[in-house]
This record gives sequence, structure tokens and C-alpha cells, in this order.
Amino acid sequence: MKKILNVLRDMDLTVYQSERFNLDNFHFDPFQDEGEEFERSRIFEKDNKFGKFVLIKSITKTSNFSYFLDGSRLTYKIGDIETTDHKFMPIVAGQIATGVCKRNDGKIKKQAIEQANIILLHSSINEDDLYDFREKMKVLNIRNVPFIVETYRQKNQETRPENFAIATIHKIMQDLEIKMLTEMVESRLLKPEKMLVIDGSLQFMNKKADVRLFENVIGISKTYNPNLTGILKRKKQQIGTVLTKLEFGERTPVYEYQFSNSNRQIGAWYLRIRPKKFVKNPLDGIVKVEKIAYLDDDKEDGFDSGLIDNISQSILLERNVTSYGKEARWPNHLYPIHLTERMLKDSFLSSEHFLNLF
Amino acid sequence: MSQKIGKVSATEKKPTTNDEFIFWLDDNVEIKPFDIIKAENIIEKKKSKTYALVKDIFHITDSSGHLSNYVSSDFGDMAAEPTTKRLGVTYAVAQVVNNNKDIYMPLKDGVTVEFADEDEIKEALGLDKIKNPIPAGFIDGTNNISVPIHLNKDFLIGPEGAHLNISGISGLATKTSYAMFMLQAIQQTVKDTAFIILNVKGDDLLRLNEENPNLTEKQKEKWKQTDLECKPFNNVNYYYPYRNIEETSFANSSLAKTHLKRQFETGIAKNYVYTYDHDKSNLDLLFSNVDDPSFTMESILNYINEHSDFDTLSWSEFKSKLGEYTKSGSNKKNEITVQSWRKFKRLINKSINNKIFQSSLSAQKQKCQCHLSDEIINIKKNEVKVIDIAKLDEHLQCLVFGDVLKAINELKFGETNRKEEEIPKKIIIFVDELNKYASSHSPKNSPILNYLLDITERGRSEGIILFSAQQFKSAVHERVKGNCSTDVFGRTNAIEISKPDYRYIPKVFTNMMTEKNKIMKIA
Repeated sequence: MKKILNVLRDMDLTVYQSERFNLDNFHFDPFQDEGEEFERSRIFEKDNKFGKFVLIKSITKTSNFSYFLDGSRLTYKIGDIETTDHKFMPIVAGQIATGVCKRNDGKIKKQAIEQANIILLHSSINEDDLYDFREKMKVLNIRNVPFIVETYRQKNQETRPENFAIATIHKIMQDLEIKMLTEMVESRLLKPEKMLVIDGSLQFMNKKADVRLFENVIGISKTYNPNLTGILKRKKQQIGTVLTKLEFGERTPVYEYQFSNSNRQIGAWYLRIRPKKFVKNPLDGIVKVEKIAYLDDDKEDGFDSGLIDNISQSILLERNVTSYGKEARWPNHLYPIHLTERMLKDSFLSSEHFLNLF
Repeated sequence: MSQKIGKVSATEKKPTTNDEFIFWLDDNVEIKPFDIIKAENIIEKKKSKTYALVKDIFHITDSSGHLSNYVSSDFGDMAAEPTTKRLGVTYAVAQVVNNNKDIYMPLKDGVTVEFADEDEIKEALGLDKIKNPIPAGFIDGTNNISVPIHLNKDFLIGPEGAHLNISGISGLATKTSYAMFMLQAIQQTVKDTAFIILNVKGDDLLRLNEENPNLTEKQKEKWKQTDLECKPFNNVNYYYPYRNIEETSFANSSLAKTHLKRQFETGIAKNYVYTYDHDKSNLDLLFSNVDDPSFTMESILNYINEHSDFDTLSWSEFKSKLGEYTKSGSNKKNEITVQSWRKFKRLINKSINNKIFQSSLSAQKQKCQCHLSDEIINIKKNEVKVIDIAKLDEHLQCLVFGDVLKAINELKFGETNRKEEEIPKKIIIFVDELNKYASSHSPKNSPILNYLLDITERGRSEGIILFSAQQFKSAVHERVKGNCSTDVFGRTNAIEISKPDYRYIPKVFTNMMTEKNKIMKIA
């Protein structure tokens, strides 16, 4: 098999093989709700208009979550390309995978997995050259995983081009997540008692995605911005100062945020799933939960508090077992999500194998 | 029908090798050590089956430690129940035993592992190609199959290999039962063999010619599966130490009087005695376990055998004669000190007080007296001679056992007048408590040890085969046990399995030996 960089060279493109490395190691993991903006602040639930903390009562031992969706990526810089307009731009490649795990009788099994290998070139590449390269890459197929060739655009000069490439890969991965969610909904697998949990914020899911897809879906972020302002009554007060007062089993009221260029309304609340005395940091053991309003009634007046309590109760049931010892952020991790993530990571080619394709 | 049970797992740290591999198990599959499994070994277009024996079985989870499990139970809450079960897998280590096309390439990752069926187990263990098979038991698989196993006659009783040794603690290991099964199997399948069985305790082996009324239909069915008839031994004769009590048919035995009476009435039992004339030369056997570093006892025995002073005596006259030699100043005639004669007298006096020491054979037919060695020398093909020594003191047991060994040696080394074709080709001697006669601490010049060494080292070619049993193999003389080509292990204890004799057996198997109702064979 011909090395991929040589395929580009054969097309008379000036390509340099530079030191190859994993880009994920050089970029600090952002908060899962990084960049979140609140258009307006209001309590987004019907029976808690004063916005008090709610202690979740333990009524059932059955969780309403049956499916867990996650996406994972590995990105590498594999070389540089000299464009015809005299730019020297990195070639970035990545492996992405999206998967859903199903829980049945306490056991986690694979429901679906989709993988792709991505090669990103700078957007200044000639479109015909890009077409030809795509055609050549179509025949390449490692363990039935296709190669997708895309371009990235450097929107500003302040940010390194690699970051734009990573963002593009991330977007492709999120689109794959939406595709998978669509298939789940179309197969009528999701129900109120068989909900799907997405790892991370729902805010960044493709804004054009049909809101109906999210009827039985929640997003759970294990990391969030504690300096977030604008959602509390005192606009300047940061959310972190409130969350430190949250006791085990308590949730905050649901706050609403709405996107400026979308009619999607999201309700978000925080829930403490571990007792304070067993965690090191003040915000450890608190997860952020998001749900998209789907019914008109909900969009207008917010969610039923009972529904939010039910969902919160299911999340509390997810606290055991833990990934203690495996994950530094174990207090905020939900084990089924951890397993889904592991399934995806285990599906990747080893870095040595992948980089040697180039 | 084959049943899929898991898949081969080869990792960076635990690769598969040509003789071992690891496979993970389906969550709902049960296996146990000793199960025979198979996996397809495909090299290019060459397909073969690799058979393996399950050794260790493990269960792992993704938990980083016990603390993690504690935390995952709501920080030590006993009542906490997890919503998601921890990711865990059961995996087993399997020892490759065979490949049906002699391919010994390691199995590849992800290959499906299945239970071997009955025919495949036979192929795996080479049971399908055994010549002159002798039934030896069953191998039971978790997949509800029970495959009869056979031993190659040539390796069990010669000429390729010989001697069988059984170890296991008293009562629970079923050593004697297994030995009897093996002897029965040989009696039914090999016609030119004779058996000498020493009964060393109770009356276990004194009713070998009788039906067992307690056998269940299931047990009888098992016998059928091995192609053997479920029946008592044929041609059995019993030999008891003589004592002068008519009530017990003059036999010194633990066997019930009624049984004794029946045996004597049917002419299959005799009482053995030792007379001075006949057995003077066997006196050395009484000193088998006596330390004799300066060979003084040996010198005295030689003196007795050679000197005319000790000819034509009775046992009581012999004692009186010894008395003369123990008087002060009596050593003028020989170089042996009076102190040595006194020690000899003290030791011999204790022994020859037993009623088996008679001046001559009794003329009374009802006493059925005989010389044991004469009986052994006349053993016939397919005959079973059971010699009861259970109620004799240890040094007398040595005398009898030594006498038997000596007689067999004489028979097989052509020192009798019998025609060659009448003599059984193989004589199998079964003795329990072998450690008593061939102890790892036996004096080097012990005559019984020397006979046993002779049998185990050279008996194979002469057709003298030793089947032995003892509680602790570690207590048996190195050269005796080292020459046994077949070893059978029954239940034993943890201290015993820590001995060097068990070092070559994988830990999981030795640990199984300490469990209840386990018997296994390693040939």
C-alpha cells in the first residue's frame, strides 16, 4: 500500500513529512460547556419558580436510562503542505468514532458504532486536486473504516491552524453522533423509560438537527465552567459560588438558555451525585444536566419539576459503580459513559499503525 | 455437538505460545480445570485443530483496586446496589496438549474456542490410537460428557514402562478402590498375569471374590461404559497368619468368622507359618527397618546361616542357642561381640514369640498351614493371591512382604522347577503403605528396600510389576517412586503438595488435589 503522503506527492503537491505527533496531548481539554452563552435567564421549570435547591427523593431503584452515546477522536499532525498560494499549512489526520451502548439487566453491550478516518487539508487546495485525492482515498479502507478527506479554514491568524483542523474533525464527529441518534429515534428505541444519555453538552449538537430527536435525550457534562454568569438572579454572580452549597442528592433549579440563531431552548441544572465529604475539590461530584424543550408547553413555561426530579433520580442511581482509580475526574463520571468511551477508544488503530499509513 | 465457549485472547503482555494460550469466556459458560477444549488453527490454507487442557480460570474487572470497589459501593455501604455492573470478564489459561496435524503454531487472537466432544477428547489425548488398552477411569467434562480413558498396557505393566503408584490421604482418596479397579481391569483384559495383593489394614481386600451388594445401577452402568464386566475377582486365594484359635479357622485376621469359615470350607484360604528349617534364611527381613551401620546384625545373620551350631533347630532351641552366645566369655568361637549377640537376641525374641513361628507344619488338615513362599512360587496365570498382614506387628509385616518379594524373585529368575510356559508372564504385586517398606529414610542395607529397588529398577523386564499406594508420596524412597511410569494422585493435603514431588505439576492441579472427591492421573 502506498503511503498517503506519497499519494499527495504523486499529484505534484509539495508535501513535507514533519515530526508526527498526537495533537490531543498539546491541547488542554476545554470544559464541556465552554463558550456557553445565555440569552436570558429564568427558572425553566413549572413547580419551582422561586428557584430553590431540590432534594431528590429515592423512590425507585430503576434508572430510566438505557442508552449511552459518546464520540471520541484522536488527532495527529502528520505533515505540512506548501499551497500554491504560498502558504505553509499543516496536514492533520484523525480517527473518530461514535457509539451507543445499551444497558440490559445491568450489563453494558454495544448497540452501534461508527468509525471514520479523517484527513484534513487546508482549504486553499485546488478543488479538482481535492476531488482527485478524495477519489484515490476512496479505495483505502483499513479494517472496513473509510477515509474521509476534508478541508479546514483558518478563520483568524491568532489561532494556530491545527486548532481549526481539530475543530473541523470535532464537528464531523458530532455530525456522526446526530446521524446515530437519528437512527435510534427512527428505530423507535428511545422511550421515556428508555432514555439516551449523551456525554457532554447538547448546546453544541448541530443546531440544524431536528429538535424532535431530543425528546428522550439528556446531555450530561462532567466538566463545566464554574465562572459562568448571567443565569442567576444576581447577574454577576458566578455559578460556582452557588454549586458549593449543593448537598448530596440535591439539584439546582432548571435554568434556561436559548440560542440567538436557533429556536432551540435548553434547560440546564446541576446535581450533586457524591457526598461532599468524600471528594477533594468543592465542585467534584456535581454534574451538569441538559434537556432540550420539545413540547410547546415546555418551551413556554419550562419543564415539569416532577420530570426533572425523575431524571435526577436516575442520574443519582448511576453513581455506582465508579471509575475511581481509572479517571482523575471519577466523581463526575458516569460508569456507562466511561465504558462507552472505552469501547470507542479500543476501536481505534494504534497510533503507530495509524501514523505509518502516512 | 460442539459448544462455543469463548475466544482466544493474545495481548502484548500475555501472548499465545505454542504450548499455552488464554481465552476469554462467554458470560454464561461454565468450565473447570481439566476440561478439554479445542480451537481452529489456520495457517494459510492449512486447517487443524489445537486441543488444550484448561488450567487456571480467572475473573477480572476494570476496577483499579479494592478501594475502587469500596468507593463503588457508595463508600462502603453494604446495601448499595450498582445500576451498571462493573465490566468484568472470566478468562482461562489453557495448556496445549495436541494438534491433530502436528502444527504447533500459536493460536491467533480472536479464534473461537469450543468444548471438545467425545471423539475429539480421544483424539486430543491420543486415546484413539492406544494399543492394548486397559480401562483406567473417566475424564468428565463440564459439557456433560464422560469419556472412558485407557492406558496402554505396554506402558502400565511393561515392557515399555511399568509400575503404578497411587498417593492420597487415608479414607478420602479412594486409593485402594482405584487400585482394585485397575487390577480388575487387568484381570479382565490380560490373561497371562497373576496378582499378589497384600492386605495391610482391616478386611478391605479379604472379600475380593464376593459380589458387592451396595453397588448402584449407576455404578454398574459406568463399568459397562469402560467395556468391563462388573464382577468380583476370579481365582482368588487368601493367606492368613496362623494362630491357634479354632473359632477363627486358625486365622489371625480382622475378617468376620463367618467369612473366614466359608473361605476355608471352599478351599480358597490357607494359614501361613514360618518354620525354622524353611525360613531361617529369611530372618534378615525382620531387621529391615533396624539401623545397622556397623553391619553387626548382618554378620550375626551370616554366622547363623553358615554355622553348623544353628542347623536343624526349632525356634525355641534357636532361642536357647542364642542364649549361649550372649553369655560372657562366649565370643571365643567368633569375632562378634557378646553385646551384639545380646542386641540380636533382644530383637529376635520379640518377633518369634508370634504364633506364625512354628517348629513344623501341622498335620491337622483343618489348620490349613502352609509355607507362604511355596504358595507364591506356585502362582498360576490369572490367579489372585491375597496375603493378610493387617494384624501382624510392623517387623513381621516386613518379614512376610520380604518373603513374598523373595519368592517372586526366585520364581521369575528361574530358580524353581516350574515350566517356563506355566509361569505367569507378569506378576503384579499390590501393596498399600509403601512408605513402610520403602521409606525415604529406610536404612540403606534394608533387605526389603533392596528387593523393592530390584523390582522397580529391573522388574519391568522380568515381568514383576509393583502397584503401590501410600498416603504421602514424599515419604517414599526416591529410586522406588522415580521408577514408577504411572502416577495416580488422589486427595491429599496442603503440606504434602508443597513438597518437591509435586513441583512439576501445575499449581491449579495440586490445589485440586486438596479438594474433596478428586482423583486424577498423570502418566
